[in-house]
Amino acid sequence: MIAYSTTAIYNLFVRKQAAEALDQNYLPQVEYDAILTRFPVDFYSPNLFIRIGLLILTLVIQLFSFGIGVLLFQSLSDIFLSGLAIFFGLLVYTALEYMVKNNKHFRSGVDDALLWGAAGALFGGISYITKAGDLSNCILIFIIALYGAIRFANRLISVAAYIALLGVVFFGSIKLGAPVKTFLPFFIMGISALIYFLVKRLKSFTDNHLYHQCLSILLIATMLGFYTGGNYFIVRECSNELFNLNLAPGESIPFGWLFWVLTFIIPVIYLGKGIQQNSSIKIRVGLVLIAAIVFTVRYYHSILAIEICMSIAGLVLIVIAYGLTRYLKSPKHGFANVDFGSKDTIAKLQVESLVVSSTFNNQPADVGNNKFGGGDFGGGGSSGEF
Amino acid sequence: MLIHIIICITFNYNYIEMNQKVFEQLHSEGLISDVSFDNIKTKQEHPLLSVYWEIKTLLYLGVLLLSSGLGILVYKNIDTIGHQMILLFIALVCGGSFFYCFKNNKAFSINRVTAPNALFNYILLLACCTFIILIGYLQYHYQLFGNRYGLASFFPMVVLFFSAYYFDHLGVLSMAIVNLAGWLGITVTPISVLTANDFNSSRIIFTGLALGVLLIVMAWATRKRKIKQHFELSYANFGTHILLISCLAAMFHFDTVYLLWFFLMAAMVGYFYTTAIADKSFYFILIITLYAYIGFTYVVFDLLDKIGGVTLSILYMGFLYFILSGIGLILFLMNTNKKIKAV
Repeated sequence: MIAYSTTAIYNLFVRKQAAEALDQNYLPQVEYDAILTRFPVDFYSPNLFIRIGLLILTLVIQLFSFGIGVLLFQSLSDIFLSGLAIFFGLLVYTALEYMVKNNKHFRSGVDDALLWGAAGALFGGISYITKAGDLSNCILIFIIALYGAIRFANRLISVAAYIALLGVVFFGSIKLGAPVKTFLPFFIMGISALIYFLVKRLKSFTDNHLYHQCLSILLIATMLGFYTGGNYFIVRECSNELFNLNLAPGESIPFGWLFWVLTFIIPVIYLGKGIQQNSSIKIRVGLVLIAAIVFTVRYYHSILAIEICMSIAGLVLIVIAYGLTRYLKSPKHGFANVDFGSKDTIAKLQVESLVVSSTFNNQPADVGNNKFGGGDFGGGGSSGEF
Repeated sequence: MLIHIIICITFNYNYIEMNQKVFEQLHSEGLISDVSFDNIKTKQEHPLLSVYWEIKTLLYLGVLLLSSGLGILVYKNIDTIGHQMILLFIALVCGGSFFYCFKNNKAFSINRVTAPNALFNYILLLACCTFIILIGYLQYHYQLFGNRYGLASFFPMVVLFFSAYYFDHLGVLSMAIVNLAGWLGITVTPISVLTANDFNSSRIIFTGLALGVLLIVMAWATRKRKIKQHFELSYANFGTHILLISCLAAMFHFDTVYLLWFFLMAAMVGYFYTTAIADKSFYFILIITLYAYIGFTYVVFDLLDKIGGVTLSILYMGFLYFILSGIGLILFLMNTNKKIKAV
């Protein structure tokens, strides 16, 4: 089913587990080294930055290879060109299989880029030939992405499959007409919940390490999707568009109160469950969605001026963080405030310092005596090439 | 802000829950001792989740929201509150934060000093931000430094550099570097370095080159003199980007002698390449490769343009160039990856 060698994936999983145990001082270095020799991994997975480079370059190569094809056959009809896209997609797919089988590429950037390229070209070609509408486009994406996710366990592609499925539900219920359309938010929430529990079940199976990361990402995506279905802002603005309600500002939708309740209660439930179950995924999603509550409320009701809101929120956050730091001086209820991954703390600090400089330093440079023109980078021929 | 959260979450992929079955297998194979196995088993029975990064993110957001909220508040109510009151308040926050930092700071050392507690770094950040606001405010409203605008950015810069070294804070160091560039007249924050600068002005280009060289020298000196060695990466990072961007800008701007600039850039990239290999830095390998690629592509396309202008065959050659150079660079990167791992 999966393109990569299953033993190597399992060995990688064992290595990661061992590394985690090593990081947390549960395992002496000697035993860790023994595990490394017992579980060899022959994948080609370079460093993250090299991976980014390989990804960009592979995408560039694909783009221009396809470009040459289009140039060669530019006089031919559109149908032929979409046929060319399908052919190109299949070609890229073959290259992908080859790279994975023979060169053992595993999340090296090359296989990611080839997978996206193949999926994109196939989708574009088929969609153009069949002149597919919204619904059939979503079905098409879903099929291609599902195949890609199962065969290559790619995180991004699995999220794409989930979003495409939401699209199928969305456009499907619009096609079915007014009475069905009304329940659209609940369909979205229902399907998200369904997939969430399905993924949870899948994750508890023994061979979950094959798709471990995909499933984790899907859990996050379905939790966000579930909230999207019930969020007042999204439901109101979407139904305004879909049903041509022409709501005046301040006017609510039918059952508006229900969505307000959902808007507030879902993040709180996530956060509560996360704290109860010691689940970092739920806590993080819950925290992000608390911000979504604030934005939703502020969009419709300007209770306080924005700056007062910001100041109070900032103060509250600092107090909460300070309180938590005090409270978790020694670990309590399964929570601790220690930097487990201290191995690469330096790398993290560096990243953080860069972000600090871009968010805290928004004042423009001392202009002095020169005029600042537009943001044009370079002159002459710079724009055409890159 | 959002970027920060995303980075925090992606860089802290601690979704790796320890799997009982794996360790049972390892134990039965005799790869791990009874002691380690029991340790891990107890660990799994009492799972401990670290909320270190969640708390850090909350703090960061809190400081960000509070300082910008106060900033806007001041801006809007300038007429009603009165300048003195606002100034007093900002000065109090700033002074209080600095006081806390001085009081709790560990003894200064030219080596790395860890913060006394998690809050410390953020209070220092708050202190520095409010200090910049304070100076800006005083200058804007009371012309503290008169018409010597340079002094108005020079003074905070000195304070920032001092704080960065004295309290050992990488974030403040980045702020100081950004301020240094601002004092020289260019914007170097990672997001706006390309949009906020007019690289068609030769003054900016030369300032950028000088600043880049200065920062690279600082990075080198930091390592050589062993003063806060962990600051080296910040200097080198800003320096490399500024230097290479300025070089590219020079190539595009002085297009009659662009080959000269290209060779200068090639020499610099060569130098950075050797240091990156020695430091095992994949990040620098990636960025210098991309900058060099842009420069080289410019040269190739200029030559193609000189040969035949925009004709179909030249277009084909351009496309072919991207494919072949892409493959070449992939091989280069893979090779370098191997090389660094072997070092």
